[in-house]
Amino acid sequence: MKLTIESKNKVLYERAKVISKEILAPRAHVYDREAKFPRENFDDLIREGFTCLTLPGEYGGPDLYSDPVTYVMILFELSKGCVNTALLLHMHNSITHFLITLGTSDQKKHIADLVNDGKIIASHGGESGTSTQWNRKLDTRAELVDGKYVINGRKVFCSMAGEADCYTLWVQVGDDWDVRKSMCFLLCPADHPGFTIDNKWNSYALRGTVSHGIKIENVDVPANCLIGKGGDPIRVDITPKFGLGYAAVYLGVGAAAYEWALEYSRNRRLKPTNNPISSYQPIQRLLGEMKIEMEKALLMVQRAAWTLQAFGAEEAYPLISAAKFSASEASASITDNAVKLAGGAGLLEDHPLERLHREARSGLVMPPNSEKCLDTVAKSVIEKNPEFAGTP
Amino acid sequence: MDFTVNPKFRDLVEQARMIARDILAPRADHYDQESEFPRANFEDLAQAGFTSLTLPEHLGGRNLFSDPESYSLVLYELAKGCTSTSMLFHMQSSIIHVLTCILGNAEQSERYARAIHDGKIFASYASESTSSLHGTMVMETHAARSDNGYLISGKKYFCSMAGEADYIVLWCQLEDEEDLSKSLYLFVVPSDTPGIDIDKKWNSFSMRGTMSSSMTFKNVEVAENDIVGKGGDPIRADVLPKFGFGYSAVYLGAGGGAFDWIVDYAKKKKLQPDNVPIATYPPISRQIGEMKIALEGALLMVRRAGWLMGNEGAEAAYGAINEAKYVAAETAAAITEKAMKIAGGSGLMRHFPLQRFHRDARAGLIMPPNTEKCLLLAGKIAAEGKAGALMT
Ligand SMILES: Cc1cc2nc3c(=O)[nH]c(=O)nc-3n(C[C@H](O)[C@H](O)[C@H](O)COP(=O)(O)OP(=O)(O)OC[C@H]3O[C@@H](n4cnc5c(N)ncnc54)[C@H](O)[C@@H]3O)c2cc1C
Ligand SMILES: Cc1cc2nc3c(=O)[nH]c(=O)nc-3n(C[C@H](O)[C@H](O)[C@H](O)COP(=O)(O)OP(=O)(O)OC[C@H]3O[C@@H](n4cnc5c(N)ncnc54)[C@H](O)[C@@H]3O)c2cc1C
Ligand SMILES: Cc1cc2nc3c(=O)[nH]c(=O)nc-3n(C[C@H](O)[C@H](O)[C@H](O)COP(=O)(O)OP(=O)(O)OC[C@H]3O[C@@H](n4cnc5c(N)ncnc54)[C@H](O)[C@@H]3O)c2cc1C
Repeated sequence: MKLTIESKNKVLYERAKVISKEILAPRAHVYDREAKFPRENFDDLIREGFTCLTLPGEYGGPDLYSDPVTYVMILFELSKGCVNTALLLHMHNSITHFLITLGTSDQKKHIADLVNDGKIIASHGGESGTSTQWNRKLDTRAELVDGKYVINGRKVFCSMAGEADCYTLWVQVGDDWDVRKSMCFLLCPADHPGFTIDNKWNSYALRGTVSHGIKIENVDVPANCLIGKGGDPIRVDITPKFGLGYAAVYLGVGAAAYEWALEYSRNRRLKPTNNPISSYQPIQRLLGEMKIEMEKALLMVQRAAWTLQAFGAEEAYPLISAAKFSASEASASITDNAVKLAGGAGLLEDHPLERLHREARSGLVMPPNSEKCLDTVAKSVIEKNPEFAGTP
Repeated sequence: MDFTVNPKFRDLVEQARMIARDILAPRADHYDQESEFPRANFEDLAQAGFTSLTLPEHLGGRNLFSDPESYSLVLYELAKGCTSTSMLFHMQSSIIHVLTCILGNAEQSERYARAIHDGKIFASYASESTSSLHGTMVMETHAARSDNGYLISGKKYFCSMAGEADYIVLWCQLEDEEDLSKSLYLFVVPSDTPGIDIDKKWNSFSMRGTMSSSMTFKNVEVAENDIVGKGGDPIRADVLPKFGFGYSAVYLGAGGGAFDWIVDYAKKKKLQPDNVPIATYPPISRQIGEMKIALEGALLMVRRAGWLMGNEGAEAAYGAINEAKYVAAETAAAITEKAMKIAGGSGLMRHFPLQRFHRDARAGLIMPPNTEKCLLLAGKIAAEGKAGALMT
């Protein structure tokens, strides 16, 4: 075992820490309060090259999905500053990676050009009448008419709706209901007049993601906007990677809450002793619990990322589910404990804690949600064998 | 980052797994029910070269404690077969490591190593009923200088392998100095020395094979060359925490053993009219998922503590050691509890190992440092800024 990061991409990780602290953290409460897309953050991240993280070397990027440990640690650090931003950046970087992996050489170049040009790509799979986690049948469908795909349907939870430059729609093409054959990615320009955004996003958590619903009416795009083949979006070596990033992003929420609580407990002094509350045993006990949950979940995330690199996506799949479960459950419990530790102050808007507490709830439902993760892990134990890849 | 087992000791981890499965597990029930010292296991472990693993290389060992992570994995694997044996093995292996690699002089190290190669068994007694290892240690057992060496009088409790070990390593204070950091020494005493008495009352709920009766010592003579190290050495940061570190691996093994058993049981057990393995019922499969994730997380925490200790020293790893002990013991307790519920009435049956793992796991919660103490220390160390940043 070796727990240090020794990759050539370490500079990016170090840079992410600075960006998180100096750029993202100071603005985080604004995007939350106003439920606004973190445009200024994205401008800065584009300038810093962070929207090109997953581009392959031939297109000038560091191809970070070939180094998933560093990739998730970058997300983790960014999320400590602003979880909205980290989540959206992860969506953009992941869908970019999938599309470039699946595309023809012309398509690869086109997508790389867009990303190098500072364009932002969203990915919209969610629908209100079907579950993307369990059965994945889609209502949004496309027909090939005169060499163009014509798309109709409705998507929900569309992060960066009205803000991204391109939407990657998860669509069923043709009449075949078997999603393994017919579900495809269609990369569409966001300014197509067939898109109507409902502007109803007013959520309790992840407010800055502006995940409105989108109505899709006769959106027609050239045939070369279809990337990959039918069934690609649900391939086990593709979309589970979303889940790995979510794990890191949502663990960042817990880490931020822990770090805030630690700092708060060191500085908060009460009469008559005037000792910092961190010297009280009940507080130390809470800090101990939080720290332990944090470290354990972080190891689970790192191990899943390492497994992805060392053994490939199929082997990593149950570990990614285990990591996602550990991370989101840890952040939910850590933010709870942080509120207990802080007392009334934890509920006030003056501190980031109430926001972090809300954000952590979103980690529990983000796919794969906690129950789905348990299901995946259990199946791998029961159907394959009780050991994970790389288990001693 | 790398999660593979150190190739230098990988063979030992694998061998431990076989020994546990083929030798320890089949006998575990007997030693538990009869509350008997697992002598045949110790003979087989000696035969396999395991009892000399923690001796330095120049004394015919493999200096296994030089990599505490690998050491912990060996303990973990052994405990899946028999928790009592793994615990006793750890007690001997760790005190031998302390005597021959850290505190003993060349003559002593050689002499104790020879005894180990001769198949002799070493026990280590610190605990006393009127002082708490969890709080401030104050020893009742005293050594006084005599003409030929030392005379020891006092009482120890929880003396594992009482009446079975060939040598006793006694932790006691020399003369009347109160400050343990100056006066606490290790004394190595042959167990047949006159003046040693065993109360033979060991009849416990868990860890029954450890035979941990109380013992009294009345003017027990110790030779001049059997006092080891300098005053205070046994509670040095690079000595004392190693015992607790091993317990975390041992007790997690009780959880690992219970997990392996319940998965196997749930895959085989079928009920009418469904006639499918109960493992496929969602309420059971989700608990299998929960247990698996908890187990993996806890094992990573133990390995991390070992890795830190090996790379940065025991002092730097002190926080991590407490974190690991907490997670390991709590996880084993929780897993054995869950497994009981899944198994239904069968879990209570003596002919299945589950109830033994369940009972043994309870001792993990109280073995020092007990889980409350671990939480407090983890939190205190973090609050004081000594735990280091979140591991990266
Ligand atoms: C902040 C945020 C941003 C998002 N952004 C995007 C985005 O940009 N693009 C995108 O595509 N999606 C996005 N999503 C949506 C996400 O992908 C999910 O589609 C969304 O959360 C809808 O799923 P659901 O949790 O509402 O569960 P539903 O699918 O509505 O299911 C409801 C419940 O039923 C359970 N369930 C359903 N089917 C089964 C079954 N067969 N067996 C057992 N249990 C079942 C589920 O586990 C869940 O508990 C976002 C979500 C959030 C919270
Ligand atoms: C199976 C088994 C085998 C063992 N074998 C050995 C052996 O071979 N050699 C050996 O030396 N020991 C051995 N031990 C003993 C072990 O090391 C402990 O010393 C033993 O468990 C005594 O501690 P206790 O749990 O009785 O707690 P006590 O020390 O009696 O404390 C009781 C409670 O009070 C709490 N407490 C105590 N002081 C404080 C304080 N200052 N502040 C807050 N709370 C406090 C403790 O946390 C605990 O909850 C063994 C124990 C077991 C269970
Ligand atoms: C001390 C004791 C005394 C008893 N005395 C009596 C008595 O006097 N008279 C008497 O009639 N019985 C008695 N019983 C037996 C008891 O009523 C149960 O029948 C027995 O425990 C067997 O059922 P089970 O729950 O143990 O496990 P099983 O029936 O073997 O079930 C195993 C597991 O599968 C789960 N499971 C089963 N079906 C499903 C499903 N469809 N979906 C999801 N999960 C499922 C169960 O919840 C359980 O976790 C006694 C039991 C005990 C422990």
